[in-house]
Amino acid sequence: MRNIGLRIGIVIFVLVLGIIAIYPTIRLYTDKNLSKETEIALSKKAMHLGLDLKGGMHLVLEMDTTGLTETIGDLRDRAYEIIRNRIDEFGVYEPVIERQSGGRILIQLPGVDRDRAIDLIEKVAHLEFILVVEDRIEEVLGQIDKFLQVEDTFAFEEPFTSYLIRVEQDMGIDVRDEDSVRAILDQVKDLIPADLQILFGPRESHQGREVRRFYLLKKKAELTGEVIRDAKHEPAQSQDLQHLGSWQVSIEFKREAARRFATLTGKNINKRLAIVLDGIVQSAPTIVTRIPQGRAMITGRFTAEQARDLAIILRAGALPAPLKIVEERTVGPSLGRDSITSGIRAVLIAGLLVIVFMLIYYSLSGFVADITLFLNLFLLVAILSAFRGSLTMPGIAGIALTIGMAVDANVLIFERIREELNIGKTTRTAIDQGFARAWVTIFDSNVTTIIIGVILFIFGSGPIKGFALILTIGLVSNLFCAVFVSKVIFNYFTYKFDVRKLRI
Amino acid sequence: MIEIIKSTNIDFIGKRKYGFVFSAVVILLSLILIFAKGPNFGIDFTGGALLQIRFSGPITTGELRSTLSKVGKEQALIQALGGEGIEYLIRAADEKPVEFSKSVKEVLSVDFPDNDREILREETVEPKIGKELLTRTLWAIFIALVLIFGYVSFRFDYRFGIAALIALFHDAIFTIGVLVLTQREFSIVVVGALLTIIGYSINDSIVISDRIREKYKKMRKEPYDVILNTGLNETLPRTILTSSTTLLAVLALLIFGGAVIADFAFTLLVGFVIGTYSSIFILANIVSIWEERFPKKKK
Repeated sequence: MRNIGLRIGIVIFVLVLGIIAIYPTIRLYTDKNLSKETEIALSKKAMHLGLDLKGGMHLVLEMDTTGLTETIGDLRDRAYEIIRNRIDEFGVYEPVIERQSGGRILIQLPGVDRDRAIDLIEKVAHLEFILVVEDRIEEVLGQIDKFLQVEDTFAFEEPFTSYLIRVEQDMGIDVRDEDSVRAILDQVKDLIPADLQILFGPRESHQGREVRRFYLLKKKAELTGEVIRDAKHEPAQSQDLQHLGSWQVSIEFKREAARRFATLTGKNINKRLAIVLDGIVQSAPTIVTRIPQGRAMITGRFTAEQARDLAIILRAGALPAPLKIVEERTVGPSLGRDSITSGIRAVLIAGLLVIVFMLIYYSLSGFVADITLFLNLFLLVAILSAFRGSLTMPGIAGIALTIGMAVDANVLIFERIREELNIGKTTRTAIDQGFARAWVTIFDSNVTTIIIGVILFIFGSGPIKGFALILTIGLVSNLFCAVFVSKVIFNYFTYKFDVRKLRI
Repeated sequence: MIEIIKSTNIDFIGKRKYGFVFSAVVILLSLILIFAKGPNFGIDFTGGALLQIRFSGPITTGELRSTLSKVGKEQALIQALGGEGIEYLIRAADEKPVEFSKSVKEVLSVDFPDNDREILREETVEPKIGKELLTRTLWAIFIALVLIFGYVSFRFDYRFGIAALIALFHDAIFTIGVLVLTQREFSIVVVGALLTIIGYSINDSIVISDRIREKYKKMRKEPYDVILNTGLNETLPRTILTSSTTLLAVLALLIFGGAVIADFAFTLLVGFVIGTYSSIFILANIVSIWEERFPKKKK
């Protein structure tokens, strides 16, 4: 009966701490009428839902550094900054962006439109302004045709030019021929003069077929994206019916670049200047006049969303090297909701089964075990909230498992007390001895499971970490609940009601 | 208040040969299965893509397969989820998982333009990442085994440590054997379950070993077999009770937890049964044989 008052005090203290810690979580997930600010404030102190429950994407990207001389770490750091800017501007709530070794970047975005987010992240956004070379196109095409005819005597006349079709004032190809055209271009790449290159436009529909425009450009860009000071999306002003309702991105150059742009446009009036993004010609307007204000427009058939995203990535700047998705795990919001529903159902049923089982088997003492089980679950969520941990689907499995395994400590203690009672000890001695003897075993057996939990936490990825976290917290708090708290309850009641015969 | 399991007096040690024969046969069968058929490795380890798709209208596995074969993806595993024929899991090991996933989505929208789809889950893992995950996983298992061996040897006796390790290998091989037999996907989550089983099984073994150690101090005059048997019998009620509550919880998880967690729950269920069996029939028996052959000097 030593210091029962102090021990009751400790239990109440822990309970109060638990209630304080758990309050934001309970409020966040049950109160439907929260204002945005309260919601954000609460979520800073609450348990989080993992991506597999909330819906969202987990990406690991790796840099492709072939042909680059900088160290992979520097490149990754630059890419990391740029991606962070892009995601910040895109406006994702609580993104996770982490640098990893081997030139990798880990990104976790809750609740986003997958395809749009991938576009935003993956796009290198290398913007170039390149002059179109119109006067030499005949010459280059002729050479290609001649070469192919020599190679293959059975080829028809103009084997290459016959693929080309007219798309408004440009040449283009049908996308169904794209593979063949690219194969030929690869075959004849030595024929194309060293200062020129051939690039395509984006896919577009023209007179019922899907086409890509075809351009002969200078190799060297006149200006590149680094000179951009600002980029904005805005509705297209063009009177052209085709562009009606579409959006464009207006860019503003830095001061020095604005001067170069003015000179460039001044010297090349009536020529066409292609705006090339990641190797695709977005548009190639004819220069009508010298442009001194340092502004340019990227038109295309952008939707408002596309134009907005493009403006974001132009402002954030180009990636130093392309990034490749090496791992993706995306969960849609409805699967997340389904998982929560089935997870909660499984936990409730597991809890009910175990509670009834313990009540039947140990009667009143089983009730004490059930109370400590509740307390354990309560503390589990409280600790998770206090450390802002995430609840994942395997984490929910961990809760179910904790329910099943946590009663082990009670079982060990109760079996010991029964044994002590059987050899004729008094109720109080049996309780004291039972707890004392079971403690060694409970400690030993929990330590090994905690070892496993810690290893899983360190080595496991994503959802498994959530499982390991719950399992470990559950076991630790169980040591407190099933041993300390249940002993306080036993001591208190046997003392207060002078229990002679323990129902166990 | 009931006491289903009255104090028992089962001669576990005397009947150990049945346990050993049973385990030996099962382990042999499991090993044959594992090496002949191989675990059904998930994309976590092989690299590949997984798509969980919910259609707005019914569609058959056959329709899906013929559509996938148009893009040369007929090797993909197609699994119907739920009974209504609207939700499917498509999974394939592939060298280029991102392209795989993309082409599957494209061909579905071409072939079934009127059957709206929602992508519930999309996972792609490059083979390179799969290899890394496998290495990491093996390390995790190795470190877990070393630490547990260390702890058990330190708290008890190195003989218990080695016996515990043997029991753990027994449990792991047995469980993997069942997974191969049922062709369940062997994913990173399943490995998590395997490690949990190892933890649970060792937990059981420790409770029993603790009791044996206690009996060993009290029953110095008795032969070792009797001590072991007493320890096993005295802990039997607890072993059965704890297994029952744990299995109840895992069963609830398996039945009500949904498709995402089913493999995990299934592995836990199988592993816990095996783990309980092994801590009764394998661990103490190994120690008892050891004691017969190389008796430890009693102080």
